[in-house]
Amino acid sequence: MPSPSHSRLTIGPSGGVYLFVLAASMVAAHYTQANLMFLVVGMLLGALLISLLWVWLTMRGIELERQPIDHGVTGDELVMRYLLTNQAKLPAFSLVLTETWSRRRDAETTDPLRELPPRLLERPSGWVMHLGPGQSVQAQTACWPMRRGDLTLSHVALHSDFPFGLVRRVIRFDQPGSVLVLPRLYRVTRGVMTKITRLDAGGYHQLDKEGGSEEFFALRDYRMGDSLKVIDWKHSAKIGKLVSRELTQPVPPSLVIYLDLSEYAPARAGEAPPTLDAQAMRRVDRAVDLSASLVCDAYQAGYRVGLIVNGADVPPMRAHHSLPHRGRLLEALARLTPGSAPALQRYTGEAPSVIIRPGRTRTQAVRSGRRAVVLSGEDLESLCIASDSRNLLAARTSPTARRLATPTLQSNAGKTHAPQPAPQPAQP
Amino acid sequence: MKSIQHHYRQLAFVQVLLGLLAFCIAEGRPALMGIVGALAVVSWFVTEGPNQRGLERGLLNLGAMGAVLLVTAETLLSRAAQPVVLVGHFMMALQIVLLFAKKTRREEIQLALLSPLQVISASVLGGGVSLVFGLMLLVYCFVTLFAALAFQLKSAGELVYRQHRKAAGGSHTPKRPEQITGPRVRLHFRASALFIGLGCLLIAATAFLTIPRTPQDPFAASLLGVSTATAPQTAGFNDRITLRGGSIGGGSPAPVMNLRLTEGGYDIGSKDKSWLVRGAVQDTYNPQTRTWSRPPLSGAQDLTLKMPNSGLRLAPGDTGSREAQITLRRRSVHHLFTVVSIGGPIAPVYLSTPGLQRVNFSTKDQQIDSNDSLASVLRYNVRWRFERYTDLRTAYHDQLDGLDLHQRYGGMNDWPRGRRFRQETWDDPDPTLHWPVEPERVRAYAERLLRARGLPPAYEDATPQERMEAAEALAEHLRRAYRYTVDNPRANEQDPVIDFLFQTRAGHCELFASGLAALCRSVGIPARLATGYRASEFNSFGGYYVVRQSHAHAWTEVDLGPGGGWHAFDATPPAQVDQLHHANTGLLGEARALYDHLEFNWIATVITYDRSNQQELLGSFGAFLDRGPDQWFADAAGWLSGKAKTVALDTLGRALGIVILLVLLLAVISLARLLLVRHRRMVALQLTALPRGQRRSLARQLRFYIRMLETLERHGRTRQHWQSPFQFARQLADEQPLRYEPVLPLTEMFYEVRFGYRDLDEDRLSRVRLHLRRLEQNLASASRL
Repeated sequence: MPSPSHSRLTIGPSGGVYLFVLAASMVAAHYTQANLMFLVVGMLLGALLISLLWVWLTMRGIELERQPIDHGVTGDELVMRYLLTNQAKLPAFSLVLTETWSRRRDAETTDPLRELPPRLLERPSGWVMHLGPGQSVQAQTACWPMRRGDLTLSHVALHSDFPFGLVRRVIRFDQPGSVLVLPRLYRVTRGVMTKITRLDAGGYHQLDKEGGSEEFFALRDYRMGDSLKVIDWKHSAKIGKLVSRELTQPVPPSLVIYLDLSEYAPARAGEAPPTLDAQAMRRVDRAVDLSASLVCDAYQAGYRVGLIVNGADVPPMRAHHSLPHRGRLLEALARLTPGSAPALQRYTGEAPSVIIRPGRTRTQAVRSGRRAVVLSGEDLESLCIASDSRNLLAARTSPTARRLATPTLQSNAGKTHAPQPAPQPAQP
Repeated sequence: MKSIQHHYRQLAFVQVLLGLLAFCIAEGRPALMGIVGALAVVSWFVTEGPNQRGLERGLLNLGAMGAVLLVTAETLLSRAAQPVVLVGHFMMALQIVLLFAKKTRREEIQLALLSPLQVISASVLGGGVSLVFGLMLLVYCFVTLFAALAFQLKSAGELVYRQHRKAAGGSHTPKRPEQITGPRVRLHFRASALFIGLGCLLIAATAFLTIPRTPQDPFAASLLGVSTATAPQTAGFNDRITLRGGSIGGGSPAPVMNLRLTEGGYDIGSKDKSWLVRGAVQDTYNPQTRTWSRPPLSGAQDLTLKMPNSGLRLAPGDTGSREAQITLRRRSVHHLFTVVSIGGPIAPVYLSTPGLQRVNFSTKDQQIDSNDSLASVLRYNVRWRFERYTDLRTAYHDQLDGLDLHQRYGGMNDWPRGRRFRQETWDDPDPTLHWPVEPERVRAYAERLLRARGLPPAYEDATPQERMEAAEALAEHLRRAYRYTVDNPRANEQDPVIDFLFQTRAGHCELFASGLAALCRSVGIPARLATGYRASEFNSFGGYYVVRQSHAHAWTEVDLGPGGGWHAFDATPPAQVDQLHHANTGLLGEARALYDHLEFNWIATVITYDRSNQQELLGSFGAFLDRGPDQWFADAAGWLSGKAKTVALDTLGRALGIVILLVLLLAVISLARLLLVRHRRMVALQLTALPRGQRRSLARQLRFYIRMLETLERHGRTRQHWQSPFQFARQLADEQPLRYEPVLPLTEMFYEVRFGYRDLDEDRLSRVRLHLRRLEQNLASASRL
């Protein structure tokens, strides 16, 4: 269990006022020689000394360890948990935990409150009312990250000014670490999902390969271990040997997101990227938010999801449906830095279903012959609804998503809306 | 532990209530105490009851304006009211209004600030003299400490919550931070608070005892003197006697002073001996107003003497060997009391007190007073001569006149009103020889009495011995032939003294003293009246006299002439006075004596602690350290063996009686608490509308549900007043099924007993215990990790 690396005693504004009152009382007692004033001075002095002694004694045996944390989501409460142990003989009260960062410029980790724009509006803080001698409790701090990316952590400060709030003892624990803050997640509106679904051929067909459990695919020779159910007895009788039926495997819809950040990328490798102002950064973030929301929503709906980013150092990711894959996509989006790679001159990969651009300008066709929905990060509010990111990030697909994945609903979905004329895919 | 918010509200309420009661005690107004206490209790039920009503901010402001109007009206109607009383009443009104308010952090802070100010004003008012007040102050300090600590814990949580709101950026409303506690938080909190409180008290006591005391700054003394001089306290004693009609009553039993008498270092007080405690002298009788008073000329002749650290010698060269240690608990006007033996001379010769800078002393009538009013309590020592005859001219005048008094009294700068002491002071026309009302009739009466005793009728040129015999004969006649009563004579045309002497032959001490003075004066013996107290109640616990307001007394002082001096004669029948002043006997009397003794010690050691006490204490502590550990043990053993010898059976009996009294008191308190808890349980279970028998039975059986709610409340889960028990249980079970699972069966059991009329039999009881234990374990483990 880590011990504190730094400790100090401070007297805050209330302590300063208290000292002033104490000095005034002493002067009054000296001049009046009134017993009541001497008693008041004694009480004030006693409170100060006991306060000093108590914080010094109780904070000596406190140990703290931050629990590993996976990720947070922009705009959502990020809860960090700590294990606190009191090895002292006295109980500690009113312990306040705060994540702190070094104020020095040459520090390895920057203060997220000093970044522009700030990654956090306030330091993560938490409160433990009581920690008895020899006891351990799990405490937590909460913060609301304002931006995606890595939130680097440096120290945890623990302070207590119990009793009376006069003297505060702060002990600091070096606890370096980082938390990946995912982009802000929304639930994509049903219309958008329907539109995207209808553009993709997947979901209407069975995959032309064996191994499924849906429709008839082909016949083959019986292999040891085949179930009796799959033997086609009629054909077996005709040809005189056992023949097994093979069934098709359904093809889930796929969603390939093309995030076009080319306008913020250098034209050629080696060139310096254009400097992004706050407005541009906000547009990029909204586009990233929309992409991440689509990834999560599509994953929950059972889609295969792929990602292509133009203008950032993110390798193309083929459409696939799995939890680790979704994690990789979100991680890539969270760490995406616009302009970290030159804009693509030619794209020949998987055809995108959705093209997302930060600005409102209409996109070009990505690939002739296939249509794609073009979405703008600026239309985030109209495309998405606020959602609880915990549901979107759930590991298991929701019952609704499972139902959506069934053929019945897929076929029904196809009847609801005619595909909208979409802009032609851009020619990379 | 209950939610810290609720805990704090309880403590703050008790704190405010104690502060209000302390002020009422200091002011000595039990009716006000009753009203304030009742209002405070009602406010608790209004604001903390099931409906949790309270005044909104607008009504609160109106209430504050009402408090201002109330105090303004009091100021206008009662111009004599002290500023501290007015301020105290204003704060009291404000606090009562705030108690009825819906309390936000703002109101809580206002109450937390007003309450200590109220207690300080009560202390300034003089409440600190009483032991009850001192104990209440101690309890108040501890309650305030607990409340302050609870407030700090609560505030820390609110501070973090405010940070969370700021961190959320307004887009979210974060949850309030959970009250994370380890096991046994209640025990740890109480023990810690107690430790902190005792630590503070220890340091405070050490600081109080050891911070060096210095003589008081003259500027502060003058400020304080002005502030209290305008507000003398009632003490039953008057420096002016008006013989009005009607009953004077028995007076208040409130103690005025404690008096310890020593001679050569040995106590000379006893139950069988009474003393006169002399305060003021009246030598002029005005028949029109029927008033005895001290003429202004006498006051103008007072000497203003500076009080040296070593004490003031009023008669240089004579220190006297009888000494009175007087602890004046209620300073009335500005008189310093001296002690006189009945029939003895009046000659204070030495005065010592570190609490006063200057005193005024009259060499003519030996009256001492001071304009320094530093506090309501003053302790001083006075010595006096007790020879049969004392020539005052020798004692005071001859030694003062013609000498360099500035040099003699070391820095005495200001002589009486800026003038030098004059020989003519003694040669002024003597008012003590003149009796203005029907002098011939009184003279004839006095002569008849003296002749009946075989004494001469005129005493203008008599010896001290002759004057003393005559005065004693007249006093004896009054004591024997007149009846003592506290009822004044009829208010008629007749002068009350003449009426007393010739008609009613009954009256109180003032009439006896006036009658004796009239008789003495009529035969040529100078006489005057003195007022003060008759000290006859001896406290055997402490070995001193307790003087109460009801012991106020008047007697006559007679001048025995050159070489004789003024002597005190008490013409009041002593048996009847002593019967009136008689203290309670039996267990109650012993308890009262013990309480008086404790209060006296409180005053002697704490209230009147001064520089001399400090030097004495530090000196004895130093001597104690010097003796070393071996001697410490020897001293302790000696003290114990001495105590074992001195403890007598009657002391054991007293102790036993007091223990029984305390046990009875505890039993009454426990019973009251039991009834209160049961009532609260019934209210909490909403059983008050049921028939008496049913609600008692249900309240007893449904205790487990209250316990469950308290357990949940300790972990921050409180049932809202709009929630039914089932809704509450459902909510908990939905949120944390594993943790709150036992709540559901307990709630079902509650419904079975409350509405299904099932008894809580053994089976159900065992299940209840099991579920409660599981719930507590679940919550404890959840808190732990």
